[in-house]
Amino acid sequence: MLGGIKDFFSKNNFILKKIKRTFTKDNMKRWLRDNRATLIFMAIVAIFVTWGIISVKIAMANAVVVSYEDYVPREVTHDPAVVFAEPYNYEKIAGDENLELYFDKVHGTIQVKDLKSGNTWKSIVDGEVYENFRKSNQKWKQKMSSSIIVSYNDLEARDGRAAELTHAGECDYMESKLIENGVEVLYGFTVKGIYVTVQYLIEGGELVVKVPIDGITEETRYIVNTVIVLPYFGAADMYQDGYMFYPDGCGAITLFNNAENRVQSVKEAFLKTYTTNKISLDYWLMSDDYERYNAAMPIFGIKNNDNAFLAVVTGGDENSGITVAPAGRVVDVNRIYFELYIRNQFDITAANVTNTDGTVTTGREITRIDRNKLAVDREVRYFFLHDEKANYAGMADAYRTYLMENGQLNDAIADTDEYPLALSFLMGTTERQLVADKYITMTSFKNLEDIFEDLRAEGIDDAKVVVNHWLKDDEDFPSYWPVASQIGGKSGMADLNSYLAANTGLDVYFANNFIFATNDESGFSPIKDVVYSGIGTPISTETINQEEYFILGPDVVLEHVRDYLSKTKDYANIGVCFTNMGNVVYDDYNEDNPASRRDVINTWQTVLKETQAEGKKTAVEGANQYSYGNVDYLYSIPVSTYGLSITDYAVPFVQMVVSGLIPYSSGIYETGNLTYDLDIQKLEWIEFGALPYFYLTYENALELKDTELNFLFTSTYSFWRDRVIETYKEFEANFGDTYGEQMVAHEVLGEDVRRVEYSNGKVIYINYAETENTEFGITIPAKGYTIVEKEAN
Amino acid sequence: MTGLKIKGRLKKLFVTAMATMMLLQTMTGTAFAATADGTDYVTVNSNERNPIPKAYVVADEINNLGTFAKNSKNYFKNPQDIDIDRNNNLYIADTGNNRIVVLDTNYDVIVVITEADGLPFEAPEGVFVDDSGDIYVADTGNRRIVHLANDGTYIETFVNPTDELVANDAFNPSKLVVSETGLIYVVRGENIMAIDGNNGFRGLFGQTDIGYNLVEVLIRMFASDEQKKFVTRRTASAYVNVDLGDDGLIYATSVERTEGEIKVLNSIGNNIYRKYTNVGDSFVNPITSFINNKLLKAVVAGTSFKFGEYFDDEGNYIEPNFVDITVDSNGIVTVAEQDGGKIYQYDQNGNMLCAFGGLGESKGTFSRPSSIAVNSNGIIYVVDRLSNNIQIFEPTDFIKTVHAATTAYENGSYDEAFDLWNEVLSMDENYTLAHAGIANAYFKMGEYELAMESAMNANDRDIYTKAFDEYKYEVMQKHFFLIIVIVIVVIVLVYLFLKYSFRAAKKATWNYISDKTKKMSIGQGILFAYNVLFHPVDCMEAIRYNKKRINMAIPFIIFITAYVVRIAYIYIVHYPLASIDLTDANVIFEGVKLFIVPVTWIPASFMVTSISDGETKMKDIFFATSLSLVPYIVINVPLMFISNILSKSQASWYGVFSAACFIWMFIILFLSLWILNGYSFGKTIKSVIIIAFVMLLIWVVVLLCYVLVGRLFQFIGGVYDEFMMSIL
Repeated sequence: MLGGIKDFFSKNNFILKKIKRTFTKDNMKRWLRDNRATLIFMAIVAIFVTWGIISVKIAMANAVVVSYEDYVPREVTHDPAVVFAEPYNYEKIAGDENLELYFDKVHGTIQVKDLKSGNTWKSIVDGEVYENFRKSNQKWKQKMSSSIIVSYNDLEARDGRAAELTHAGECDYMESKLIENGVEVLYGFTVKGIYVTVQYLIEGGELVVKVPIDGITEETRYIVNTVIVLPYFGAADMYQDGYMFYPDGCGAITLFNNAENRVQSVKEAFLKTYTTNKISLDYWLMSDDYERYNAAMPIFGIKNNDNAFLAVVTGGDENSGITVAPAGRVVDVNRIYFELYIRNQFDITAANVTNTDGTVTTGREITRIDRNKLAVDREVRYFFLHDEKANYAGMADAYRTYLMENGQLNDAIADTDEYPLALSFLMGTTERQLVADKYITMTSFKNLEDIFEDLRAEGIDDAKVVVNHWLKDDEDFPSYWPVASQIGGKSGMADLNSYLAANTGLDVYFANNFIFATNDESGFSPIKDVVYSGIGTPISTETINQEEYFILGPDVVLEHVRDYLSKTKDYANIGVCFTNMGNVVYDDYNEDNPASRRDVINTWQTVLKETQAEGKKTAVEGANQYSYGNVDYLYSIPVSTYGLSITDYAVPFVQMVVSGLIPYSSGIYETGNLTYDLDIQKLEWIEFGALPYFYLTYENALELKDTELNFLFTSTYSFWRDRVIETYKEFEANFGDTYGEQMVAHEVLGEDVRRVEYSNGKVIYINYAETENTEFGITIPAKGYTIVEKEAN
Repeated sequence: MTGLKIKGRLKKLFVTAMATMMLLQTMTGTAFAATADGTDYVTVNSNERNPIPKAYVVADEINNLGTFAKNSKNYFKNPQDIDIDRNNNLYIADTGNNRIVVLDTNYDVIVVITEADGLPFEAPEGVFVDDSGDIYVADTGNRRIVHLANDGTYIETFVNPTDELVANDAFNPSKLVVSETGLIYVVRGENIMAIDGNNGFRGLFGQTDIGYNLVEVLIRMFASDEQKKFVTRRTASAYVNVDLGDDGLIYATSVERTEGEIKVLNSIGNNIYRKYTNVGDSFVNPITSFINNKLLKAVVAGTSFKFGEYFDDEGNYIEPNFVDITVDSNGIVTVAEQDGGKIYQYDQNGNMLCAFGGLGESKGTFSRPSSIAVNSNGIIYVVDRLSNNIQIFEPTDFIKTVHAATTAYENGSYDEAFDLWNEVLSMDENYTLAHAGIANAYFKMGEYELAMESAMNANDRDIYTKAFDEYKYEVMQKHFFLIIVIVIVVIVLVYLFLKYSFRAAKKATWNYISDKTKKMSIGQGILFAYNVLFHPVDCMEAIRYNKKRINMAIPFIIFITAYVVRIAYIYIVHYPLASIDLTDANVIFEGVKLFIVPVTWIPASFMVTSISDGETKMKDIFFATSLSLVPYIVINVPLMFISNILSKSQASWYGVFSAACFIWMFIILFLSLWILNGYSFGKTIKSVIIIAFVMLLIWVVVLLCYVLVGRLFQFIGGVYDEFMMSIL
């Protein structure tokens, strides 16, 4: 073989010569020089390819590979189709002086008897509850007969959309055993290999439903996404007198029997506690979507004739949601229930595709699910109410009592506190200009003191004041310090601090955002310090005008807050208002330092505690329940709901829970100056017990027109001064004595008339109509109110 | 709970750019627009949203026919039109249910009409009720219009008129009005057709002039009849909907994109509603205007008015689709936009009063609005054909005051309007139209300075110009002699400056040419560049024969100076003459606009000359090209200062200077090509044409690279996402 080659070359000597001539040192050098760029490029490509291959290898080696081929399903204990055709047979298994728990061990369903009223609450729908039950289609009949609905995802599907298993439809395996105060039931779905343990208990006059996280087992590729327990508990048809209450905005009511006044195709309301369980920053930045889905509290309530109950998620509340479906949504049954999220789900937008005609198809959303469970035991508690307590005011009272007993709601109003005015100020901002941005001073510290003096001269000594946009150059996050020199700088801040020392009625809170960050500003690492989604990428918005928004991890937030507190130690009388902290909770999948939603809530609570420990007054923007324990002022609690078409009216539920304990203002657009009608805004404040609230500037609001803060279209102090003072005086005179009192009742007496009652016996009738109202034995002026003392009985 | 809002709301917007030639590509870019979130608003130039107090609140909803029937027929199905009679009863074309529903003021059913003349309605899309209460139904599916008495009794039928102009086309009546004289006006594609009481054809009405098209003229001249058949006819834009004003005029919406989305047609069919006015009407560089209009239409969106908006709530570029229009007794126009679900309201002159609604699930938003009507109390009814309901919007005190003010002004009660506008300002200090109204009132009172200030607040350059001219006149009268003296002094100083500077420049040039030993110094170079203004030929020859000695710092100095002048110009130029607002200007974009021509000229002319016996090198082309910017500097520096005593009424005069500047620049470029290469005149012209073509090619290639690189990154990102997802 080799000889052959030798032979070949000796025969064709010229080839060898040519090769020798071609590959001289000089030629090689020249060739290298001429092709330098190509070679470098190829080297880079080679490096990338190698890197890619190595990382794929590593990833594949690390990936958890589970084989389900040897799965042998458990033996089926019964056929649901047979079982659910049989009659029900409930046996009492637990109870105390208030409640009795009944269990049907064949079906695995429960009933609760309220001994005080004699009412029995059913957990499923039958012919008694809903006359057309028998006529409903099979799937919905199964759903309505179910105690538990499990939704699951397929781990091996690329786009793992959730599917549903219902108790009455697919549950073919069941074990139940009596335990202390109740029963433990194992619901099994052998085909998919999913088993869920649920405990039904009676504890201290309350029904408690527990879903231990270890009680959820999966034996195949199908994994649990959400568990819904007792979806039809307390469900009612469209002829009952009653309603569903849910914490949309301030609190919303959907009446059982109002279906005919709604659109033909009603939709459910989906609420998620504290913030959405989806992880996308765009979603949070769109406040419209935020309001659409956010629930400030993990609760809902049902009132049916003279009976009611309040359901509260007391374990794993941060991973829960509420679904409200009124009669008319597929079946004419009103139902409301919690969704307990067992795992996080991610929506990934696949890359955009450019079509041949040049248009762009936005990428499809693909759903993936986290492999790991959210490791918290779930617990739902039902508080039963009857007679005069069987309404949303009673629910608010029950919840308030529960929170206070558990130390989650503190009393921030001292008996000596006077009725305050709520104010917000915008200090300054930058207007984008061609070369250098222009700083616009709207209110300096000096102006602020002048305004306070001016108000004092009118007898207004007490106010809750939130100071916004006071940072240097109105910087974006994550900046939290220093103060802008144009509004007075540190010396101005020190002056304000000493001014406040002499005027103890004024609580001033400097608003600061510690949670969001934009890469426009330095001070954080967009790789290390930010929150990651479950697919291992930092959560951010699209890059817009070179700006990209991120969320900071809870540890970074805590570090920033501590730094801020140490830097402002000298300004002890100036409090902190944590914007977004009462709105936003998230999971952080940052590999180095992961955090669950519960960890984040704990961090927020630590932040508030440490701020209060520093002796600083603490305010929080947003109404999420977890901040109630350590806050002096709740800033921006809406006096409205999102306004879904299924919502019949708004009620001050959140307000009733905190009234008399924590002072609160209305939402950011619900100020006296931004409203379309100050008279109506005043009535809303009265109805919701909110402080009269104005968002002001010292300089003319026209200055803001071309800035990004043009939402403040009118705010000039000199322009609003008289109206502010007049409003405060009116409120102080009429409602000063309700400050520190609980709002114990709220009634909707007609489309335009409301009645509010305080614990000191003060009753206020409010009339929103353009005409006077005399229907209730008293005269309520048009767009006005009448105060009466409660009748002696 | 809008605390989550971070400095306005993020808006993504996709900029569609059409590359010329055979390439049709898209590029995506982003811009930022501040928006009002969840509040009502007005827009500045149909782009930037300025929040206002709530203009309308949802008072009620009509979701069904009440006690009419307890079955599915109790609900509306795909309702497509609504009209209101003098007693405020509602007439709804319930298209999907093939019926007309009449509701009283309590929204109880008066009558439901399902047939006429023995024939059931089939998908009626339009309904109109005249002043006497007679009902006209466009029974679309049956291709007829029926006239009914108020109780639904059949009176007569109208079908397609037999006139040869229209008889051969299908008759699909949908939206219609009936004038007081009894003529039926029905939307018919690009026209509105008039039918008289005897079903006679009374003409096609309101067709837009589509102008001439060169290609079409050529086709008409040279094509055979056979060929003409295959050419698609260019048609005017179609009408969408009509309403009849109390003034007897026809208010219409159409899909016309240039000044015709909303029309008010007079008796001969001419549009007398607002004609667009743009910010700054001064002379615009044709190249930048081409780039603006064709390539960057979304980037420059907002420099000109249009009805509706450029961007929807998500920030996507939109072409508004006004599905219905209604006009109240004062001539205030309200339109419903279908795709974004917004309701826009305009005053008698086409100024936006408010915008509200939008798509969504909450009360006050829509799934797909299909029709709108306003009653005599100003209450607006919006029909939604997906939600199958009607939402009822009551005006707030705020918008009622605005209506009163604009009506008072329209009726000539200026004092009343002044007070009312002030009342509006007490609720919204930033309401633009109120400032404009007050500026007008001040102008009428002779308070010119105050009028100027209010006009600035309203960003209304026309009122500002009027007031400024009067103010200038006043000042002139007051200080006549002083001004004369100043003018004389300035003229003398300018004369002296020019005289000595030209002399120095000329001297410097000759020194450069004659002293062959020295390189051009910077001072000498600047004077040399200055000399180009009046002795371009000398200078170009000086470069041609002394190529080695030119100083390459000079072009950079000129480029930087020109850029600084442009930026200073934007800051200094007088407000009414500014073609761009300071807050809208972008440092990079201004640079691109200024340099795009010279910077592409350099490689293009190098390429062209080097293959056609040119003598020039890149270096001297660069030098010579930079000289073309000298006129720009020399003209704009004094101009920006002088502009401060000019106003929009002198805009054309002012534009002459801008035009002169560009012509001058071109002459210098032309000469540089001609002289530096030693070309003949004819060859120079040929080269210029080729260079222009090459420049265009360069732009296309750059654009293409930009797009492709963007796609590449997108692709890599997509692969990464997929990868991360699959290992999850």
